[in-house]
Amino acid sequence: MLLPLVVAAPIIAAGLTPLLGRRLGRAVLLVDGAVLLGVTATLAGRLPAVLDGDVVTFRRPWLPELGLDVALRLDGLAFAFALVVAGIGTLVMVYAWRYFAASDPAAVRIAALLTLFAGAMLGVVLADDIILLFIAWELTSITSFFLIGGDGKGSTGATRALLVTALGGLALLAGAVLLSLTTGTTSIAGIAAAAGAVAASPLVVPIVLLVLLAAGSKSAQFPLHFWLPGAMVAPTPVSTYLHAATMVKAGVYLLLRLAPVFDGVALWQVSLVLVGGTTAVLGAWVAVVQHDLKRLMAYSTVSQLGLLTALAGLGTPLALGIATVHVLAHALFKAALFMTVGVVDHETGTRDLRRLGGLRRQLPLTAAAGTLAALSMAGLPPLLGFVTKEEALAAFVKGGGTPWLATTGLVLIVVASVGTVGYSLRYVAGTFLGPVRTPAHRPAVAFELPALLLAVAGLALGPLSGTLTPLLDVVAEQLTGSTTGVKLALWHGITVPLLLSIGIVTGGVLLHRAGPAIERRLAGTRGPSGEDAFDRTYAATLRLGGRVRASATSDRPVAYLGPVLVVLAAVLWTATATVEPAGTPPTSDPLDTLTVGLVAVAVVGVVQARSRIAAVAALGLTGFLVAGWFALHGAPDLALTQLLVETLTVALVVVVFRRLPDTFARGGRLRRRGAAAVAATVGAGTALLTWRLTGRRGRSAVGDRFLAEAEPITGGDNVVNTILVDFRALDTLGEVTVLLVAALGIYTLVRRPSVRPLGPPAGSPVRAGGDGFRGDGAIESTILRVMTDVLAPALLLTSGWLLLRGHDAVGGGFIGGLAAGAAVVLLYLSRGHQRMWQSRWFRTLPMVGTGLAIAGGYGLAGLVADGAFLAGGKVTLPGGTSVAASLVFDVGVFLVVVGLVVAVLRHLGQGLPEDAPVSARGGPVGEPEGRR
Amino acid sequence: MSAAVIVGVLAAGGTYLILQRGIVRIALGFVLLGHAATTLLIAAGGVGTRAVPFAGAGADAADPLPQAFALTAIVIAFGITAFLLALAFRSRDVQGDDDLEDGR
Repeated sequence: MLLPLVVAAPIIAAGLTPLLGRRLGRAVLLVDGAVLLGVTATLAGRLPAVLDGDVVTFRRPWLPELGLDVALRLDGLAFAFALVVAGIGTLVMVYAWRYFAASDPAAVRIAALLTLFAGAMLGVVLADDIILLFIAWELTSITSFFLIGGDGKGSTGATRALLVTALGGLALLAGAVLLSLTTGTTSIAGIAAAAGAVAASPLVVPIVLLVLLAAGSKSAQFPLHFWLPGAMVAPTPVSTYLHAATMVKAGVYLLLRLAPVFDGVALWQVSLVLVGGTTAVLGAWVAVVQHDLKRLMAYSTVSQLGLLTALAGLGTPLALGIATVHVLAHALFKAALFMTVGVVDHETGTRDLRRLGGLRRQLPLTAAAGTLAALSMAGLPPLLGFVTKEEALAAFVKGGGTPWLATTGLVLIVVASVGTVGYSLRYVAGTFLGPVRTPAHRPAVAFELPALLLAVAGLALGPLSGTLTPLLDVVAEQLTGSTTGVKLALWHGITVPLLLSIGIVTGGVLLHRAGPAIERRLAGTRGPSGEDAFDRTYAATLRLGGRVRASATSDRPVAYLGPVLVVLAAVLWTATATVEPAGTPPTSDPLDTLTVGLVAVAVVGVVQARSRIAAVAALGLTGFLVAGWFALHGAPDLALTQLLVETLTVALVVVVFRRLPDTFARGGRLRRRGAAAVAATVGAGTALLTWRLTGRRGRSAVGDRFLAEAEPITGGDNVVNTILVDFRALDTLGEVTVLLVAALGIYTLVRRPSVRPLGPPAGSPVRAGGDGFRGDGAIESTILRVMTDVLAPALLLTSGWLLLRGHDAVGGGFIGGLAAGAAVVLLYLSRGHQRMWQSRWFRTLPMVGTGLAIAGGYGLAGLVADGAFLAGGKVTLPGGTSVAASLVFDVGVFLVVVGLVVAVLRHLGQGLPEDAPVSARGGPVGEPEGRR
Repeated sequence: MSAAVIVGVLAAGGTYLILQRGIVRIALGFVLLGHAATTLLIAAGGVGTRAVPFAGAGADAADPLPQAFALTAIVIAFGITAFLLALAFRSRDVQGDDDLEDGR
């Protein structure tokens, strides 16, 4: 249970941090630091066992179907990284406690995120399942994003960092999937054991490239290095922890962890050594000319990560082992350096080298820490950095694999190291020596102490570097199977690495001397920048997305409808042309022809009408004629439904029209001609299709069956109605639901009282007042009032009768509901909206809701009684007559239809609320005029 | 023949209207397209037999199934019309008219 606890403790602490932070403020950082200290101590307690080569594992099934486990593993490599994460984390928390002002609310947020990050990072280095590693890896990217861009001003840098590392994350996922496909396991130890399968696989090239992309993006390798200097807008504790000591090492960790898998793969070796070496040189020499101390340190980190990558590529036992120890050394000196930069920045207000100097008197502790750490970075004895740099050089001198590669790597590392010495001296001399340029405040001791501790540790471990030899060997042996045969020490005699070191330091000192001259030469020149390239690509991607979106979005319905209709017409014509009609064409009556002729006239009227009222009148006429056509074709139910729907449509359109200008907005000539052309094509196509493909056979078999069996099965004579409520009742339930959705749509669109008064809109030339409508929507007419008093109850009674008899004769729920809707419209027109709004009966949601509940309840009752949803059947009444149970269903249909009419009248037929304040311009107060 | 003409005329009129500006005309176009669809359903059921399809109507009865489809189609089209009208109403509230394309 040790390993899950190590990962879970920081994550749990992160979750509790915001709660504790409310009480403790920035002191919560110390609580989180204590948690990390506990983790450090726990890990340290395992040190003897780890050095003996013991490996602790933990494994619980996670998604057994996919073969994924929550698998953790602590070996030498994982131990070194985990110790860095927890140990540096502890000191960073103490440092951050003094970095943030007591009143700074960011402190708690940063504390939570840093602690969460620590948990994620421990997950990365301890995971033994490559998918689990991926998840933890992504979590570090996300926490990094929020830590960089937290206060908003760093959002550009944060976005760059996130996108680059997210790209790497995707590459890691793809590489992980390919690796597990090749080896048949997601266990990292299992993958390493199956290294031969990977090397033999044709997928080895994409796998290597994906892993390299993943590690290169995370560990800021050229040409993806640019995000790291950009991430320096983060608070210094964040830069210290994530962007110097730990997160950027995740890529190196991945390379070291997978190095055994790619042992002997030439592409792996060559690309890693060359990319790493180039990055090392580039980072070091760019760092030499930086003025901003944080950017200097960031480029220095890029350079060091390049060295580590090259070592991972070399892949010999010594290279992998010394890379791990150098990670330790680098964490010690680089974290210390960032902390000192933070102290300088905090106490002087600047981190520009041109404005700094002479701080050794005012910040003696920081000056000591900074100097020790910088000398360790430069690789000077007797510091730990010297020992690890020596052995790194030795690893390249000894070589391994292709000879030219090790030599090339050695040259690159030596050139980079000269730059390293140069910028290390520049930092020390520029910040702590020389005249005072910007005075410093006195920092709290706790603010300076963490850096000093780390620097002194780097000093002590130089002479004591022999104690690290077991770690070097255990890592090398676990990764490669053989030890290094090297004893870490300050003095090995006169060796090639020592001579190289002497040369490097000499070169570095000369470089430092020549520094001002080089700066003058470089002033004003600016090489190609990765940031610019990234930003251009990013902006271009967004522009491309915008264009794609623009082509698919428009406020003009014609933009959508036009293409759809043209395609539809093409399909119609093709279908008609390719299918050969069979059977004899249908005949028509003279009455048919007359009706169709009248329909054509009415349709032309609808299309041509300039005024709304004329259009609606022509529309109503069209509907009535279509109803007549239905009647001619033996469909009285349809005809009645059509008549009622048309009446209601006209009434409802008129209700809405009162709020709209009298005439239509006319389209231009192009639109009229184009629309006419499309309409003619669609119309002719549909006509042709109807002529050639329909009506050339008798009744359908299923129609015959319904005619024969409707009465025996359901007891209803009206076969159409039995289809609606019995045979295909599920369809009808769906259709009723559509009506309910329409009613809900109207309700939600226009729920609140209207924002504009009834009557003609501003600027309407005609009908200003005196349109016959009262303010609340009613028509001023005594005759109408009196007639409604008689007609409305009669209509309601009729609708009930239509509903009841529907099973046996013309009628049913739809028709009855529409008739009742007509009665409601009459009531509305004579009594006005106000009465309707206040009525307890005409309410949208209760009405449609009750209707659907009755229809659905009827279906469930059938399920309970007969084992089939909407089963139906007959019920025998006490008098002996039997009634179809589906009448209940029809009542539900009835209510939903009436509810829809009510919805339109309630929500679209509303007058101006009488107590609504009206502004001077005629609109209600509180709503902006014009379009929003 | 008459069925083909009525379907074609209604489809053409509806198509023309839904390509115009303004939600109300588009709504009217949808009403006409609804008519076209219901008449097409009846035409597809055959127009040779025209007696009312009640029980015991005999061999001359019309096919009841397309009628049932058409009936629900009419009511659904009504629901859609009502919703389009609500959109027109809201459009008037928000921008003063139902024209979807002005000023863009």
